[in-house]
Amino acid sequence: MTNLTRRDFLKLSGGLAATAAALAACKPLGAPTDSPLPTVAPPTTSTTAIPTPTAVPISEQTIARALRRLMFAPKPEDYARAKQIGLEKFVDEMLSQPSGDDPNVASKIKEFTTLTLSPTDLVEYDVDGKRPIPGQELMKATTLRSVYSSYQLYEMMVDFWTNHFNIYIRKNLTGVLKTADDRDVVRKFALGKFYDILSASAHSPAMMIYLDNFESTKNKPNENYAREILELHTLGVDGGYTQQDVQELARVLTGWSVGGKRAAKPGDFEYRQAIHDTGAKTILGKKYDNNGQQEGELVLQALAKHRSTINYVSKKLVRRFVADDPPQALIAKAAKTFTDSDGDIPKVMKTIIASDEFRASLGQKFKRPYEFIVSALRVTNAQVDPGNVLNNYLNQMGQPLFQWGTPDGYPDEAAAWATTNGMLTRWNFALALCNNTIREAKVDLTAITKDATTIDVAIDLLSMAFLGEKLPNEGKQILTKFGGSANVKTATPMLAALIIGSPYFQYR
Amino acid sequence: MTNRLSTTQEALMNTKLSRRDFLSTFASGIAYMGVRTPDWYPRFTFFAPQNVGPRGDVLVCIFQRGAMDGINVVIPYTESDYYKLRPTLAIPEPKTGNDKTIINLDGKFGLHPSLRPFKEIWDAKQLAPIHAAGSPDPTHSHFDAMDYMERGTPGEKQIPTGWLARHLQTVAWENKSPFRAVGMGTLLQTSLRGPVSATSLQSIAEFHLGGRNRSDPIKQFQSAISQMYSGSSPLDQSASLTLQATDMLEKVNVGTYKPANNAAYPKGNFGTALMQVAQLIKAEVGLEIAAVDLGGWDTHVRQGALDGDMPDLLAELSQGLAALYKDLGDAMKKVTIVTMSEFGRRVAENGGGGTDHGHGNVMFVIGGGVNGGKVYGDWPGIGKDKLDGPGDLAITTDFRDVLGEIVQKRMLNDKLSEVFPNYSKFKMRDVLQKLT
Repeated sequence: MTNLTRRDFLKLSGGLAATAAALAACKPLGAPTDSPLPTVAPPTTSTTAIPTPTAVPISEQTIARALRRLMFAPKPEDYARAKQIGLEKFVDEMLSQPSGDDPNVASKIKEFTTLTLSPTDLVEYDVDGKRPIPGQELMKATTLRSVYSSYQLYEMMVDFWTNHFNIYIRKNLTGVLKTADDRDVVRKFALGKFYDILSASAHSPAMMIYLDNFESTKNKPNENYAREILELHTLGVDGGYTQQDVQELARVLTGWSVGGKRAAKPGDFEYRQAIHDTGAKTILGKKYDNNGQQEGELVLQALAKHRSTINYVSKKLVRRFVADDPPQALIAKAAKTFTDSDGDIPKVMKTIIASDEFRASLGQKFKRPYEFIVSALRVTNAQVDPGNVLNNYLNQMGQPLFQWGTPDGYPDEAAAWATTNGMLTRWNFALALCNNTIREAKVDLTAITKDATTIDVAIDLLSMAFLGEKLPNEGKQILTKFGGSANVKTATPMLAALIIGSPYFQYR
Repeated sequence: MTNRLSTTQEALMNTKLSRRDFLSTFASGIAYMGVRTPDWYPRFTFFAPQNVGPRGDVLVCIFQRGAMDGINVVIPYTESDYYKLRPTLAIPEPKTGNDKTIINLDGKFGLHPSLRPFKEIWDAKQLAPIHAAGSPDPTHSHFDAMDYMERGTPGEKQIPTGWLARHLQTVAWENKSPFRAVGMGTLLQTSLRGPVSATSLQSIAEFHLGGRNRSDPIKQFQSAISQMYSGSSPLDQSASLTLQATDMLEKVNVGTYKPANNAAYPKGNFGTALMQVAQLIKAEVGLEIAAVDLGGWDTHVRQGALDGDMPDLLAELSQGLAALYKDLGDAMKKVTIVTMSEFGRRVAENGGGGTDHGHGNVMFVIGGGVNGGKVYGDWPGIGKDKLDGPGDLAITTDFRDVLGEIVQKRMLNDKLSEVFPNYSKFKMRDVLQKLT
């Protein structure tokens, strides 16, 4: 047996964006066998021209699936609006929504007073057993925002950048400082320019602590942040940097630290000239003369513009929003937009979303645990009060918020999540949620099925609410048989649990 | 190849179940009649058309995450540099009758006193430390180093599978048990990732669908779920494996499990995980590999010499593994336990009462097939001119030499070049006897 390449392995995991023909044959990749498939050209790895999408009619099913890919979960009004104004305009609307909280969410989180604290206030925050804990409020607010915000694509981008610039909140002061990072780095620039979010991250006290840069000095430089900024945040592991570059960058970044107890702003980013290595440095062939903090600022600018960075970030976006094994041609397209627009993330997203590869991949990206839970909470219109119970489900599934230890962030491929423990927990979550036994997420599913007089119709109503489309015949038959002769009201919770536990709901 | 088939009659008469195919359709709730077996043994019998389980040893793979400080674990106390370089962290030389000193092993090395539970196994010649072992890649990044070690490919990031998965892929037998490879915890270990079935398991007690008592609606729910995932995609396979596993575990009564031989597992996740591994081994559900993690080893500051974070971890490690060893008793003849950590730590202590990232480390192998009673490895010394890089213990045994020997001699897999691609110069030190 020859060594599997990454590509082969992901093929085995079913992660490649399928061709139209494969879509017809595949199961349970979301493609119902009884509705017409969009006739889209298969993704190509060559650079020949791809037929423009406007030549192809967009079915309602495609619209529904596109929304399910770009949002944690669409609500009925989202499906309606997208069908009314067309997918392209709907996407434009999503990409131009304001960055931040919509009024509905804002009212739900206004009582979380720690969210607005400065880094200094956060590190000096006295948790005396009575006051709320910053990390806990952050986790609650994050869940509430994901579930309730109508700025869904923005919230998905927040999730993306949270992972790209991963910070583990159980390391020292990151537990409190991540609140500031979430606000001032991720949420501020999630739909902005890449340079801005990169720079904000490099000035984030939480990041300086997480990757040990705060204690990197000219006499004892610490390479951790320098290495990860090259390997994970910008160029990527194959981006063409050397160990020497890592060491030189570490030297550049000496002094990028955090204010201590006696600083003007304890806990905030602070540059310290006294510990800065003042020699000249060369990184990626470019020389940086002694210039204090400005050296690092210049390196960040260079990194943000670097071809490898553009390819690497584009690749990650394509992986997140298209397929586990990102199609090379689409990465190239996204990279071109990235370059032309000077790192304008909404523009890059638009290129990705408008592509044939995006269209062909719909319904085949396995949801990570957080997406699964949030989507279930949204489609069931749950009344959510996040706490230990929901955190425990996330933990069991392997994705507790802000608790991935290593800087690479949570994995973004099906193999990591479709485990036995993961699947079992999803089914148990579906059962508990739909039978209304999760006190942190109260549901009333009969509101969805109240007008149904038969099990058959009830199943349709539930699947339209949960998936935006009806189940394929084979799935519907299984549920109809399950429902048997029970009345709709009695059968609703378990029918709902079956849909949420079904393969159809595991994909976006 | 021993015949593990057993008829119902034979099973009724034996108190110990032999291995059988739990996926047979005959498996479900057929009560034993008249034979007293412990409550928690699976209570079903059926006809087993094929074998399940490894022909070789069961491997229990312990990953100590964070980089364990090997120098304070198997201590080179006759080297004066040890005391020079560790003014506050060094453990006092062995002194009989004083249990706050190094436990002498062979006059040159000794165990940290918190590893006392290992001494019994050492005396029984079933524990072997291998010193100055590890991964040749010089990285000091936990993330990279763990990845390299679990994939079994130091310095190489393109191979996405784990070494344990590749072993299972290449062995000469088939094993369809959902418990063939078990990763204890919520996220499957990278070493088990690959195109083989691996079950991630947090708790046997919690591993059921919809509650401990399986009501009819839940049974119907399970049936419907099972039908929806009846295809052949990787997700379908994972789902189906999950349901098979829950069915099997339904029969294992966890509450009444009592470790044998007065084995006492330490409290906490690690002890619980090991106890569950013991349960799975004894239940003969086809376990071939169990992966268990113990984290917290990244002791940069206030590591603790005789008391503190690291001694606590050593106590947990040794109590846990000694309990597993005791609990399994005779079954240890066909079990191998191996420990590893992504790299070691600096020989000199740092200014914060701890140690920085290093290189060479100690691995332990425990089992019935071990040639114990000896400290293995080519000891490079910790004198100034003997250290690696910024002051680390050099590596003279590649971790793949140890794992490769286990795979070949105990797990009966000769395809080492596939389990450890790009590595051929295996230097096996006869830590283990070949299983026949």
